[in-house]
Amino acid sequence: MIRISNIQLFILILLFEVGSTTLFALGIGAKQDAWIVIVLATLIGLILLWVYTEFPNRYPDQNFSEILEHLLGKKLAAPLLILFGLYFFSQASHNFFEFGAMIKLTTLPETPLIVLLYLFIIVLIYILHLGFEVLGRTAEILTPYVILFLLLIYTFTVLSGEFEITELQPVLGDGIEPVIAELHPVVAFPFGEMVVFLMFWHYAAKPQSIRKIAFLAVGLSAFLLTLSLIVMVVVLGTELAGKAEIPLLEVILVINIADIITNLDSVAVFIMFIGGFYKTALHFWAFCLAMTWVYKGTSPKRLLTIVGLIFPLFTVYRFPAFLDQRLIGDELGIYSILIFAFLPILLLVIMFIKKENGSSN
Amino acid sequence: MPSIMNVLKDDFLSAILLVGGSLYALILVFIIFYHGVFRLFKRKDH
Repeated sequence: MIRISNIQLFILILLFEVGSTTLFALGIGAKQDAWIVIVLATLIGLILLWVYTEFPNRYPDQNFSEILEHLLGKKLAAPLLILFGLYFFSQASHNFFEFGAMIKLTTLPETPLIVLLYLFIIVLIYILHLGFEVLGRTAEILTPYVILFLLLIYTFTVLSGEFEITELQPVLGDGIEPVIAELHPVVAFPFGEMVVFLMFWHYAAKPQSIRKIAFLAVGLSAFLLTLSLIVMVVVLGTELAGKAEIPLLEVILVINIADIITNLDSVAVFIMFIGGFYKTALHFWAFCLAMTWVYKGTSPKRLLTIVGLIFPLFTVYRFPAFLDQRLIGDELGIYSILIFAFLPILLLVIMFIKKENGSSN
Repeated sequence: MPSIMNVLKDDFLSAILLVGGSLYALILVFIIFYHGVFRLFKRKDH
């Protein structure tokens, strides 16, 4: 039986949340108030998280498929599982392409994208073949470096003298409307994406502490995201932070301490690659689990290998260029995340009704 | 909100997710209303 410890769960959630979000200036449409957008989105994200963690509280030893079957019956559970599986597949391909393209853009411009994607997927298939615990353990080893590098970047930007805190003023200068208008994309990405963990709660060794761990991890990642956004806005200004393809990379290129500590872009690539890898891996594993549960298979590993080997071809076919991916992600991806992030609320209401009906009978 | 035709043209997978997800949400809302109302009627019978 696969089991992951509390620390591994905490770290997987943290990496998942911080992961690719460091690539974007979240809520930058609200200009200098983008950090307020993140704070508000965190509050809504925590409500969603409460909903997601209510499932393991009520069904501690069951996986998501069994919970759905109990709530909706077999006939209605299967299509929902397929839809969730397709959603995870779609998200995995977004993350997968994003990081392949990002590595091509920053460090390996001469290498064909498909080669990078195949190298990426072979490692991913290998790790997932060894089991979910191995993914947790590797995350446990790598996360301290990610956090250390992130904090180092923030410290170095402050020390390099490009830190203009006045960029954050005036607070709410254009009123609350721009903040509200930017709220839904940030609620969806990254907080709504936490819906993928519904597929993994049954792996937790101590189901009773899932809620505490998840709240702590999301709280810490929200703090890191807010800090990251403040640094982006303060160093680059709202205009450049909004227009830069990879804002964190631009921030890092600004760092120059006495001409000694400079050109730290490899650090940014490390942070983004680790985050992107775990986001892709978790979504892809969730897809494999969902599909295996649909056809009542015993192990998702065969599906993992078969779909994994076709996955880079599908991704390149789906997104002809980086801009296509960004456009589809911004225009359509956000809405599909929102739909699938809010579906568990309806499931929870059904759970309450079922319980009420059961007790009144 | 992007129109369905544009979504279909741009990305088939997103179209499936948007249409499928919305339809499923409607089914769940129907189930909630059906069972909720059913429960109310049952209580009235008592």
